[in-house]
Amino acid sequence: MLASCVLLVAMGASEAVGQVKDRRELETPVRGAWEKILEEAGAVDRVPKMKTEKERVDFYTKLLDQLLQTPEAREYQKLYPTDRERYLAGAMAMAADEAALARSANAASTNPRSVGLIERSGIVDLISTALQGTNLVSANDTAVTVNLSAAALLCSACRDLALPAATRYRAGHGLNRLSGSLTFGAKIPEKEITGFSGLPDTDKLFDVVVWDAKFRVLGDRDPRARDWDDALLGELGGLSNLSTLTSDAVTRAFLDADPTDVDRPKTLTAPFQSAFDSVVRQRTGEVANRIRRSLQVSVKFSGQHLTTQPGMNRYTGVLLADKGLGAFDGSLNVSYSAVQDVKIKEGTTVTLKQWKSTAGFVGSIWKGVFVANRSAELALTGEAVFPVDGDDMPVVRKKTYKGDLALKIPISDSLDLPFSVTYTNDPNELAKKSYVTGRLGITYDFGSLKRLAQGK
Amino acid sequence: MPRKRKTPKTRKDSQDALSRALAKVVKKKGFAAVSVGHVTRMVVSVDVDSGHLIPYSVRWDGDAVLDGLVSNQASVTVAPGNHVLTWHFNHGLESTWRHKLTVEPEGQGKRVLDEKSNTSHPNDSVSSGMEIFVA
Repeated sequence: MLASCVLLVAMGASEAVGQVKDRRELETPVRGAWEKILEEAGAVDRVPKMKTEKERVDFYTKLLDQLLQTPEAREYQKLYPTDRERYLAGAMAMAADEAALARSANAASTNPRSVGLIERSGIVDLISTALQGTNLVSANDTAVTVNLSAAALLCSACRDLALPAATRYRAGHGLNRLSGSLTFGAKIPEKEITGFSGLPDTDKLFDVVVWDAKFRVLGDRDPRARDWDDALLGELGGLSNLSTLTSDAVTRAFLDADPTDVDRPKTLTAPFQSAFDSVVRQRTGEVANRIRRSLQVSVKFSGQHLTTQPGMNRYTGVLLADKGLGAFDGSLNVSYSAVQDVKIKEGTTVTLKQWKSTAGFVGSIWKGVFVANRSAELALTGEAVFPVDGDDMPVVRKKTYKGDLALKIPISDSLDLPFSVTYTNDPNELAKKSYVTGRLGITYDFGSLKRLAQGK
Repeated sequence: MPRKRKTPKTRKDSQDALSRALAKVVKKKGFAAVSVGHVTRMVVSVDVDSGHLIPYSVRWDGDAVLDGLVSNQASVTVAPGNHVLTWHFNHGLESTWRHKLTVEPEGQGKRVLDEKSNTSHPNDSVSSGMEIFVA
């Protein structure tokens, strides 16, 4: 009998939802469901008798779980077309037009250096000039990178602060997919320019200028993108509305029980809002995780030019893909590069061409095991280089591969102990490791232990 | 002569004493309802950062008066009696955020009911509250 009633209620709700155009149409059934739950639990009588805040929060949390399971509450957290239009009013009228100056950015250019620094495919949000001393340069920290976003450069509607952030973002249309950067002042070792560690001056530093243009082909990890409307405007927006709707009903229930005491309902409703906020925090975290771990694929073209001498111009095309996999974030880079006019022998210049593939998994593990609220970071990366040499190449370049397992263990709020193990068939890659045996190199740094002992 | 404190004799006495003490704390902490006197209208305003991403919600007596992504304001009717204002802000997906909820009863000054930002309350990205108004 009870099951039949539940089925009928559910059918009624879904039938009603079929005609819903606006979330507000669902408010009466949701309020009714909530008031019924409150009444059946005897909240008005029981909550005032509870002695601790925790007791009240636990009680409300159970009722909230019940509410969120009801068909009415589930339907309330969906996004309906008129709600989308209301939230993003004016979105359709936007168009990309006038040019504008760059504003802010923070992204690295193509980094040819290390398997441990696999590049992600994300596009810079907004733009500007940004001094970046660490991301690009493998030899020192003097490089300056200017990041540019096509949308921020070419779309004035994207900067109309009277519009919602999501509307501004969408006004850029396809321009949001395009970004670029220019880096100068970088010093890069020769082997990282040529991708070949067998040269005589392999560690010689060269001043370079690097440019790149990146186009996002698939996915969008920006929460302002349309892909995330159901989650942000529907699910989380629905929860915001549900929070105020249910809080009002709780307050009203206590107020109706004793209209003369207008202070008491506040103390009795506060634990309910605390319980609801916990639910919202958890759901927001889940949405953020969904966005952060979604698939994103980009292609990038870059050029690298020496500033103090001719030759060794490098051009690269890269496919970049990122996706959350289990507890880890997976990234894949596949690139084809050509370095012109490289002097392999005196009087002989050649063009070095190669395919390079880099894959990595990065994730956090052991949260709170070593230091409260901090996790160890684990990165597993692999790299393979396939030279494509013509008959004019005077030396034979072999295929090289490298596997790297890096672990960073936290030992205080700011200090870490880094370890890494590298396996490679290229002995030049092991030259700077702390310990080498055969094809295996191990790197460690206990400097942070010393700083910890010194109380720094 | 110092006033003699009444010693609780039963559990009910103890609970009553606890309730009275809690009521005092509640009043001290500003939980008391807002008396707006004889007004018929009140303006409710929300001010949020331009990068706001998740719709906020403000209700007056259960009716949604403000529900959006940008700063906005609405005028509500204040009939004699008790009224409930509830609100909810979620900044969980924003790195830089702020919100300010203000009410301005007709002919009276503005009262700020809630004001937070990522700098003043870095751990309160989800914020809700309620206020009872007596007219």
